[in-house]
Amino acid sequence: MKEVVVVEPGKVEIREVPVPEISSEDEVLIQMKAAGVCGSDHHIYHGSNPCSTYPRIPGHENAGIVVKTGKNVTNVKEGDHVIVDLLSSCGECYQCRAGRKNVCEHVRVRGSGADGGWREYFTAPALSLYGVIRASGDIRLRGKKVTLRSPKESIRNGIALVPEERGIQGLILSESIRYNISLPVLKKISNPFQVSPKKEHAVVDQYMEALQIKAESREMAASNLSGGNQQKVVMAKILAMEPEIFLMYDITRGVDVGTKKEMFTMVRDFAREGRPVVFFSTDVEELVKVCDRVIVMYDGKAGADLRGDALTKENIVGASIGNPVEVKTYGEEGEQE
Amino acid sequence: MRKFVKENWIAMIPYVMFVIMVIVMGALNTNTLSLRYIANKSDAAFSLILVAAGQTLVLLTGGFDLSVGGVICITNCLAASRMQDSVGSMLLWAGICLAVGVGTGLFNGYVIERTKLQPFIVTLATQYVCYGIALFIMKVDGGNVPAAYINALLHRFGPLPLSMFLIVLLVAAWMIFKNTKPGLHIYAIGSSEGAARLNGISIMKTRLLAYGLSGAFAALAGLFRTAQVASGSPTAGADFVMISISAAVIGGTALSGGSGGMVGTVVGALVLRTIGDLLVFMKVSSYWSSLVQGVLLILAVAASSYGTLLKRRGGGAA
Amino acid sequence: MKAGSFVKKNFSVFMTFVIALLLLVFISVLRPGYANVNNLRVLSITASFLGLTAMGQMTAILTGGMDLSIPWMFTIAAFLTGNLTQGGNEKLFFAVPVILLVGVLMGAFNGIGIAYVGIAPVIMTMASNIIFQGLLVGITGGTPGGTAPQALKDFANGSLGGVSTMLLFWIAISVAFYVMIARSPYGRRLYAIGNNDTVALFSGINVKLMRTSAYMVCGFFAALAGILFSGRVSQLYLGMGDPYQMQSVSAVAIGGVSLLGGSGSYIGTVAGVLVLVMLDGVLSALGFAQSVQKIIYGVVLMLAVLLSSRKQKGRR
Repeated sequence: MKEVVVVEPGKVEIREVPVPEISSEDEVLIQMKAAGVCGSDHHIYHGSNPCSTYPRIPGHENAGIVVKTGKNVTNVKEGDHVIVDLLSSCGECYQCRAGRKNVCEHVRVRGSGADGGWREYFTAPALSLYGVIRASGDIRLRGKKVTLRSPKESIRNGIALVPEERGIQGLILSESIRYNISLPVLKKISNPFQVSPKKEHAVVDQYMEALQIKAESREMAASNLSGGNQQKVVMAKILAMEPEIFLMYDITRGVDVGTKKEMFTMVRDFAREGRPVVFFSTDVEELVKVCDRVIVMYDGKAGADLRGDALTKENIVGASIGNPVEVKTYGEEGEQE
Repeated sequence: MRKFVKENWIAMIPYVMFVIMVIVMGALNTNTLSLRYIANKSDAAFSLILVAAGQTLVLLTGGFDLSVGGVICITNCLAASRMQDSVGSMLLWAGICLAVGVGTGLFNGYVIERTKLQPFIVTLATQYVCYGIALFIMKVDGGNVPAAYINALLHRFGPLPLSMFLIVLLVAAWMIFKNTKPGLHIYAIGSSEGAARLNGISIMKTRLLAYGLSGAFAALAGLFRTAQVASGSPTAGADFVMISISAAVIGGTALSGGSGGMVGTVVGALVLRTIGDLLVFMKVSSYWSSLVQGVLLILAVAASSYGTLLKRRGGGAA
Repeated sequence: MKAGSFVKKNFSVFMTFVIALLLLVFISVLRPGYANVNNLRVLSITASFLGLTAMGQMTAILTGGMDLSIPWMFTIAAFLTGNLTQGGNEKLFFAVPVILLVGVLMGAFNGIGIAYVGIAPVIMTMASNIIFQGLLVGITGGTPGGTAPQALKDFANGSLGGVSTMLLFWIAISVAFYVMIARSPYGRRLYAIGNNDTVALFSGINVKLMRTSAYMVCGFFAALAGILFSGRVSQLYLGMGDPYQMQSVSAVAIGGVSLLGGSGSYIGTVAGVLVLVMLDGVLSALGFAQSVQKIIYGVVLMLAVLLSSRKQKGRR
């Protein structure tokens, strides 16, 4: 098989070597499918990463498929898609035994202090693997199970999404505010033959006013708006759909503080009107400020359901790394995104 | 073995098609398994293989070359009308034809990169100009091709034709080329132009290379065709355009760029050129041959795009 | 909107019309008397046919694709007309809707392959073009016969008050098409999917269905043009539809419609049609050899597309 080796800083070789063998019954052999190239790898190449030793096979962001398992391996099986933990710990020192493998006294990074994933196959302890999990579970709307196979079906069920990448998924940047806001509600503002300019302008103006979108006119191209205003246009278009349930994915990314505040108020207003909002964010402060209830995912399952007094920053962070929190665990839904 | 198939089945489509065809044809008519038949087929398919080879390079960069038909016409007409019996003359005009092909290709590549216009339109326009030039060189079909030239290109070394060796040479050259820097650059700009640019790859140079080579291959195809039909035609090149794209696509080169290769194209070209014979053996009227070609193309592409869809849904990386 | 700002906004389209006009002026100067009623009538008929196919092509291109199968959808329609009517006017009433339906079905074939199976439009329509050809040639054994009914011949070749009926027809259909493309919700959705599939999807648009419908529209227009064309020529021949393949794309491109989809106006396409037809007319009127004609055609095509795309980018 081929492997990439940084022999010494500045010198890279591609070598042809035999496929490695599993050296213990707790290891697996992984066929590499994808490995990330990161700034650290550049440093490794240039010799400016202090933790690296040479010669070294880089590659600390690794994903592959398990092709062979040792006899003792139980957590993965052949054919599983897995991600390999970049940290290699000894398992025996105090920290490891306390469950804190990441600060193991003999920790090495696969790809820096130990050989990594830039090769066709490599071996790793089974316990360092994380399965790439596929979503499973039911979605229940008002108690009834639904299958939502397309955005159109979701919208018909009253669910609307404020997507992650507003420039790519939320707006057509080259078109005007008016065009973007009216796109999901064409049926409402037109008869089969014609889009009514009067109705269109009315709807657009209504939402531009309600959301305080700062623009010269509704004809302004979306690309000329600030990030915050762009996000507002996305919100406007969602609101125009008059959904009952909002899905919001990381909506405050790249948005100025003032607009953030406006958005939080908006979200709380929806909630007060009795419309549920499923709000995804990785900003812990935001979560505490905005949400009534936070479900923290861990290890592919819903880990902790925090409400009321238990909804604190510490609990969210703790739950996200697997610390047991003093509340009941929630076991039903799986997230689908 | 099973794993290999599971991983690579998309790329194997053209080969499977080819093998099935050979088996069926062999069963219907044992002559097809003879060396003589294979030798004839090699000659018959060679011009297409050449054009399709050039087209493959352009497709890999994510573009199209519709002007290959025009280049073939020009070179065909030039060779048929100007070549004299002397070796010097033959070499001279072959060289000129090659230069014309390369020149057209470089022009295409330059304009496409500079103006950011769609390759479809640019090469379409160039094609018209080329047809015009070809018509200027020869108003009607005809011309006179030196016998020596024909004999040289269609020469047989024993039972094996020159074209067969050249095909092998082409594939060998490709194997080397695709691992060289320019080869990798071609794949890179087809795969992700933005990423390629950020990595310091000169998009202009790579495009010039790809289109220039496409023009060169088209010229070579025209030169070979001249020997094959022993005449020149200012319009016959048009047939090659679409079929060269088909050959490359059946061979696994995606229209979006960044994947595929020459070997598949060669097989794709062979499949397309042998279909006609297969239909004859099956006693199917030749009127249906275009239908079958079209269906084959769709099947090949549908299979590969469906496969890509499955791969993506299966959650596998790559 | 005031006239001045209207022109500024649609400058490139305006310029394209100007080019067509200039070509006419140019040829009238060089060949006085060119712009006579008869010539103009012939030109208008040619433009009408190209215009019909360009409407369909534009619809496909707006979604980010292209339809290279127009030639044989066109030709099948023409031959079906001859065959189903057997030259008699009576069967026309029933034949026309049937043939239009056939066109729509052929377009659906394209659309499904492109939108649902995921085959690239160029490849799918290229293949279907060959398949349609194969079907027609195979079924008819290479010599399809038939003549068009007299009513069609009169319609395709005739005039009403000095203006050719085809031109009037094209204008009428153009108005309807314009409303559909530029003013109706359907048209909006079409532009949206050409612009950004994902945003369209998240806005509740059924992208796959819309895309398929675009190719069905294209099939419809190709068939419509084919039906009428059967009346235009005295003898149906197999290569009838071929010129329309690239010409329809060229007209649309010259008209400023981006080949990537999502932008461009129908008025631009009309301008593009006029430019192409005038160019053809000028070139043949000047009596240049075929060779020179083709060279100039290619050069002008390149320049015209360059011009319209530059203006497009400038606007952004």
